[in-house]
Amino acid sequence: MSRGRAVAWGGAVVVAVLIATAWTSARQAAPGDAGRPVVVGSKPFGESYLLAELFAQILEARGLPVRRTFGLGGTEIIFPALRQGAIDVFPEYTGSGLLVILKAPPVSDPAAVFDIVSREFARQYDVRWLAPLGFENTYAMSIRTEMAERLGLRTLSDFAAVSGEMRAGFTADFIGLPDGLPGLRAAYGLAPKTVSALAPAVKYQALVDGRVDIIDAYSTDGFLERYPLTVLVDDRRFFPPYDAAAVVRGALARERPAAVAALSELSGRLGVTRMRALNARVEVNGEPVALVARDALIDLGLVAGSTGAATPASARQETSLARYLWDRRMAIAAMSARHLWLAGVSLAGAILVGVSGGVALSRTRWAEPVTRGVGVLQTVPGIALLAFMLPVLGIGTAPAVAALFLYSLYPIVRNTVTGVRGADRGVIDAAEALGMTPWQVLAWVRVPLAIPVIMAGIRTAAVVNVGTATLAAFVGGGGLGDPIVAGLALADSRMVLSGAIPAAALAVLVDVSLAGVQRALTPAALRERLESGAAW
Amino acid sequence: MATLALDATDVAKRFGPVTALDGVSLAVAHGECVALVGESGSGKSTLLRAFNALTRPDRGLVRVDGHDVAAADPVALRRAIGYVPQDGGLLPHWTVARNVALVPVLMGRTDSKALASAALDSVGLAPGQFGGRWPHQLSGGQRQRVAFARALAAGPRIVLLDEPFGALDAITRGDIEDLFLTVRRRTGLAALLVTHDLHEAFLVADRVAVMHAGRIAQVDTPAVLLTSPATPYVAELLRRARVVTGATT
Repeated sequence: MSRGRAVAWGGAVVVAVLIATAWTSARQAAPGDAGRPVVVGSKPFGESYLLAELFAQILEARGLPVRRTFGLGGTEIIFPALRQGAIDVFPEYTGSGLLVILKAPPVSDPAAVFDIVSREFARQYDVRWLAPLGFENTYAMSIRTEMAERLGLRTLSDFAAVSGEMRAGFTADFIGLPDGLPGLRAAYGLAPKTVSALAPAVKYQALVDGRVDIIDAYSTDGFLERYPLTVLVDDRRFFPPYDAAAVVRGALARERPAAVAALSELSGRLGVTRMRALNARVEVNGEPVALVARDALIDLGLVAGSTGAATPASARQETSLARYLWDRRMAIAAMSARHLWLAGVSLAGAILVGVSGGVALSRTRWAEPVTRGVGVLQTVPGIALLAFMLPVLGIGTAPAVAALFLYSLYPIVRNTVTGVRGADRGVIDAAEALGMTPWQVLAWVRVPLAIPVIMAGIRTAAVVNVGTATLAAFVGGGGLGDPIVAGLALADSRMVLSGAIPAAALAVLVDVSLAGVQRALTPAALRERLESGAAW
Repeated sequence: MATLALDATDVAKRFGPVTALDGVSLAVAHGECVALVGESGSGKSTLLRAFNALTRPDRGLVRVDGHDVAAADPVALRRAIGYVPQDGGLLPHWTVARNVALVPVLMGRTDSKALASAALDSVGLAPGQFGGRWPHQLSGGQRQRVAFARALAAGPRIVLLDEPFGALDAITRGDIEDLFLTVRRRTGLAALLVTHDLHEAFLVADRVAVMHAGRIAQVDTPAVLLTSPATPYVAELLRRARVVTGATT
């Protein structure tokens, strides 16, 4: 099957070119020059958006151009992105820096923690911590006040004693991180009856509704004051201090002192009371992050202007979802176009590689092991895959397309191999016996007969791809994942829907159009059998 | 000495632990039809497939028209030999006309359409009526006629048939057997026909080879076979065939 091997090589070359192109385009963003914008990043939760927006606005107020890359998927994405120069600054907490990034043992003195992280980040990563912003946002293990009073629970030790009866609802991060559940288990013997992974946006509701008994809240969460909740006292001082601060690339600090000076104006200015009030405006009232940040800067006397009291505080309830979507139609259209582009490019690559590779492989003994290997890729969680590619592809379009490409590959390869192998033995036998070359058997018989099966694989891949493309938001790749991630972070269900509804519609649309393509490509004689639902 | 159409000498073939052919020799003269009969697993299909290089023997010499198959280009060899499998083996995504034109097209002949039409005519199917149909629109007998037409379209001098009448009902089967006899009379084809039906073998073949456990038990004309079976196995086979005949007629 030397022709088949040629096809496989062709496929490999195409992949290499795609990756190289993506890599180059990712690199172009990296090198610094004085005129380029300062890139501000945030993690995908409310306070991180708000702090990043404060950074962005103070920079803009001091005449520095800014690019916002918010909602990057967690420490494992955002910190490498900073080190690579894909972003210049993001808000971080000293305790996370100590435990998650440095993987150092917990220290309870805030000043000592700041000393350690500033020294070690500079030394190991060429990253600088600016002076803390003035508030701490530690874990606030919260239970319903009613239960706290009924059972006389005041401290984490009290709770640990009865935790065998309790249902915990923790964010996925907290369940895995050393300063989360594993640490609590070691320090307090905390052993809940059940532990559910909950998205930040739903955990308060789950607690208030009595579906879980304890959650990992943050001490500055706006929700804490809205509900009758009790924060358990960390009586063994397990949680390290989590002072919020801006972390910046060393290169930015050296080359753009003006940016560092602007960001430093916020140092020590954000007290815990102010921060909780600001978070409440965003998370509870649903006010736009940009507006809340602007008001805060005016209040602090850092920029001139009057605060936006005229804006209705609860805009969220006042317009219908339809109206909300209509008002944002241009943005939604742009995000949909971007979404389709990400899905289209990655799917095209996957079809090219998956079909040619599957056809080439199908006649060899490598088909099964390789297909299974591609299938394993499918099981790698999205964030992990993105984090894994980050050193090579950076953030933005390239890793998003690469991840979607990899996720689309399996159904295409699997169906191609199955379809090409599954051709009727009698038909293949006759084709060979009458003097078709192996290549002719493949191109004239096996592949045309496999088209319905191959197309079914492509359609599966396309729908999965469009659904998964929301992942791009975690690496700043854009698309409809942006409002979904931001909406989840800000507990704004309408924002989530403004991404989720068009994404679902796109998935259906793509499937329907591909059904048309499938019909057009399927040999005429096979159509009836296909449409009558006959198995192939 | 005139060359033989098909000629196998001491051919052996094993599939893993199974011995399919255990030192078989067989000769088919030009213009002659030999039927290979035997039970499933007796090696008859394996022997047939050795002649168009679909199986490669472990040992022995296989020749087609005097040329060693092992040394021949298998693709060119197969194009020169007609082939009719059980169930027709028509390409389901090609029309009848395109199926029949296959071998001429593979051979690069510019008159492939005309050859296909002529071949369809010769098996009693009007090209205008049937050429544009899909295989799944045909009856079993029509499919088998198309398979015959496809095997004959490029005008081979040898044709291999692997249970070509196996899946047909009795009446259709009789029609196709008649067709086969007519075509042979007209073209003088050499044919090797695999069948598990002794009656059919006696009807269409000049000589019948009885295969048993990878060997040829006897090769003779039907008349000789009937009167003097060479082994108890052949005698038993004939006896059983007669019993069946008695029961059904």
